[in-house]
Amino acid sequence: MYQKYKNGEISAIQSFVIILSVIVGSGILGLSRVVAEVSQQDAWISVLLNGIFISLIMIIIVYTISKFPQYNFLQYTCCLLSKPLGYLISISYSIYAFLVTAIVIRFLTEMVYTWLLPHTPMYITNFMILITVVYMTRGGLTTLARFAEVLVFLLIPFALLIFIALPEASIINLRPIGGSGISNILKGVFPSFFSFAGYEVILIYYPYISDKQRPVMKYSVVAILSITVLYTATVMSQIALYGPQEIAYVLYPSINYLTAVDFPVVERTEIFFTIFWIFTVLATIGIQYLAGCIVLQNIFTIKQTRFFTYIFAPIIYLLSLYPQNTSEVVDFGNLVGNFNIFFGFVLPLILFFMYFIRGRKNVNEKHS
Amino acid sequence: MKFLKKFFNHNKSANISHNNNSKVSTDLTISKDINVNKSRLQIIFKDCSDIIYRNLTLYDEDSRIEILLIFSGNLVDAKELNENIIKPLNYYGLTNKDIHPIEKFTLSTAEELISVNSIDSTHSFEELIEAILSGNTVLFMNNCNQGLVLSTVGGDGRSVEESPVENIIRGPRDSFVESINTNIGLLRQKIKSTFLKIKKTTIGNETHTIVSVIYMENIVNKQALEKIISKLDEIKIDGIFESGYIEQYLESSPYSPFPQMQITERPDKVCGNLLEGRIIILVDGSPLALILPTTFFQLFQSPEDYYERILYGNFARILRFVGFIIATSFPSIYVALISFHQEMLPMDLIIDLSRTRAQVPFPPVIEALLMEFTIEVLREASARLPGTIGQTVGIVGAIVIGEAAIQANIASPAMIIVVAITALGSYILPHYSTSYALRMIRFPMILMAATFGAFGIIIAWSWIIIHLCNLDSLGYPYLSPLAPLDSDIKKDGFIRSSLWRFKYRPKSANKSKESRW
Repeated sequence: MYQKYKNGEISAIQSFVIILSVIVGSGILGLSRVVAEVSQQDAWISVLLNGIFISLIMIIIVYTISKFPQYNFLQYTCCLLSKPLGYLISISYSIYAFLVTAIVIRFLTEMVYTWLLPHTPMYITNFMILITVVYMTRGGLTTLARFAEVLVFLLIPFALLIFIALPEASIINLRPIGGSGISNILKGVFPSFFSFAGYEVILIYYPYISDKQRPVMKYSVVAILSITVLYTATVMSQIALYGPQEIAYVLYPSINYLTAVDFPVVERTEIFFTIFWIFTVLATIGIQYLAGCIVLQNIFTIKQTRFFTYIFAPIIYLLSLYPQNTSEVVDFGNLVGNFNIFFGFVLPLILFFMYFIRGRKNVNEKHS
Repeated sequence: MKFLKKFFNHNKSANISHNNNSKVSTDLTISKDINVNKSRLQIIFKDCSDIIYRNLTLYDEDSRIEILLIFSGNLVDAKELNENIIKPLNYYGLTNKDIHPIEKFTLSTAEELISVNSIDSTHSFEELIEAILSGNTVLFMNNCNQGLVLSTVGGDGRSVEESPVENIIRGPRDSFVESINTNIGLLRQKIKSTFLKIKKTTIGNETHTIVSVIYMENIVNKQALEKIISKLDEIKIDGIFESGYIEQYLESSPYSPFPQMQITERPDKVCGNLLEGRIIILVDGSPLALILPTTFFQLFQSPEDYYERILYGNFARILRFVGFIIATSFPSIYVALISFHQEMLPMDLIIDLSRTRAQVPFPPVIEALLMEFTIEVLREASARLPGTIGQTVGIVGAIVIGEAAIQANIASPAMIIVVAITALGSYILPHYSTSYALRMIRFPMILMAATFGAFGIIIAWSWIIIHLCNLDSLGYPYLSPLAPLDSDIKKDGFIRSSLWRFKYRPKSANKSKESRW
């Protein structure tokens, strides 16, 4: 294993961890509110359906990219969609990634402001988060993947936290199962789609997996499915505790859920959770930010991403301070979420079909 | 200015020519006339009163044979020199003085007579000088243009004793001493294998210190070994007195608080690491061996973990991880809780804490820094003082200062408890140099906690984790087997598993996939 992982490469297991932590980081906190607003007590069915749907997309993505093992994001989009379109998509992807970074940073700042530091000005909190992210990403993909790998173990105790309020919850809140109607359940898939946002980073990171002979496809699908299980359990337990009507008025149900119980030594479990959740969100931010930087690196064919991580930091700092209040942050988030539909759903499908229409022949020729 | 420049330039060139002169003298070949050799050596060893020239005279068939022995009186084993070199030669001379034997006395006859364990013949003056300086005896004979190097290394040294720094309760007691030969002997005693290789180089253009790279040939990663040897060859220094010099030259991130190689005094630990494929560096004159590559988790491993029964070993190891967390962040958690997140503590505890803190005039952060600083000063003072006084200082510091600080309302009792537990926690680790790392991290952590509360602690921890992810030891990831994740984590990471599951070596040290047995 001596220097097996060259700088800028990741292992297949690390790609699994990256998918896991990029999705969980920001998605879980408000998940049950947004879904329950639409599909009421059957929100968990929507989440489950959505999870299965996204696993299918994941299969499509990994299948398509695995045909281009030597190509990076820019190269295979150019190969499949023509050069100008490939450049356009790459540039818009990096803009999208930076916007997501800015929003998640702002989101984390809001969280810290609300639960931990109500008197500290936001621009200072924001700055602390940003320098952490720059420090995380300046070392390249390898450092980032290792960071995510260390912190992914935090998800295990977090997952166990789902059970703590179950004695207070009542199953009757979940009934009648399927009572909100199939159309509402299907509509609920839509908001829950955004809680899974972030899995599209595999488009960028897949070329950097060093041991592609391992079942990357299996890993990525298992990552999505385990998140689906986690999300479904979370939504179920939260609706069981609050009921579908009450939950609509809770901004972060996953945090408030923990106020239901007190432990003997640690009072305010939710603050405890928030403190450790910062780690996970930091990993999410880093992964999104570096994805944008790597796409830029592909475009400008520079050896290191370090340069981009430095120069885009001030821009992201200003972007994340731009919204005036929480509701603007949410609006801004919804706006950027629409891009997510393109990169997480439309683009993979286009790539998949283009591969069948024109790519297949070209690729085979090039390989032979 | 010009004059000065000229002056310096002149000096420099003079130096160079001087160096060249000394080089020329060492490049000389050995003359057949021993008096020429002697006078040459006397020039080289001018004013070196410890060098002894001993003349012996023998007779053979038709001529007188002059023999010259040169050695440093303080470095050789005088008994061996007298009994095994001078005595047989003289005896031969005495018995043959009158008889005039027929055979010719040659250098090989001398070799037959002398009974020391190692004899080398050499033509180069440089080698001879080095041999004399490392305690060997050099033999010249007239009409013979080579010298013999007779191994008579003696000199004073410590005998093998119990390790004063790395104590363990169950396990072998021996520890390394200053002499590298004794140390290598200790390793050979434990690993009786021909695959145990010892590569010797000398570093330091004045001290000519022997540095040995030790490895198991069948296990070690050749690439890593070559890298170490080439790095050792690049070291330019005049003297090496401790393996710490080598450590600082070899590590890739010298400004990191975390040690990138292990140091140990224990031969059993070194042997254990050798069998995992790691590389050991021993330096003559230092009882501390360097082990590399090292991972973060090794800092928590003590040989006793493996000697004790599995449950006890794991109990101790988990204790050490808890000690690590306590040592780095307990004071900062206290500061964050008291200044920012009082609501997280139970009501009764808050009331108690606030009652004791009411008299203290300082904010928690000043209180914490003050007490931490005191305890660091105490520690440093007691480490430098001779044994018994050191203990006294420790007790005086702990009892008197702690008690007085509470009485004078400078610190609250809770703070004293926090500081005391933290101090204990930082010494729980088996490696002394790790506790340096922990103590250095603690102060910025307290400051971050005082500025940003729990958020600050998390940010500081993120920086530490990112830094650890960036670190490498000899090209191996420092956080392995946690990141990059590996199946080894089950075997010897946070806990150690049963010995029979160690069949395959940890991947963070070698690349051979063969099983151990």
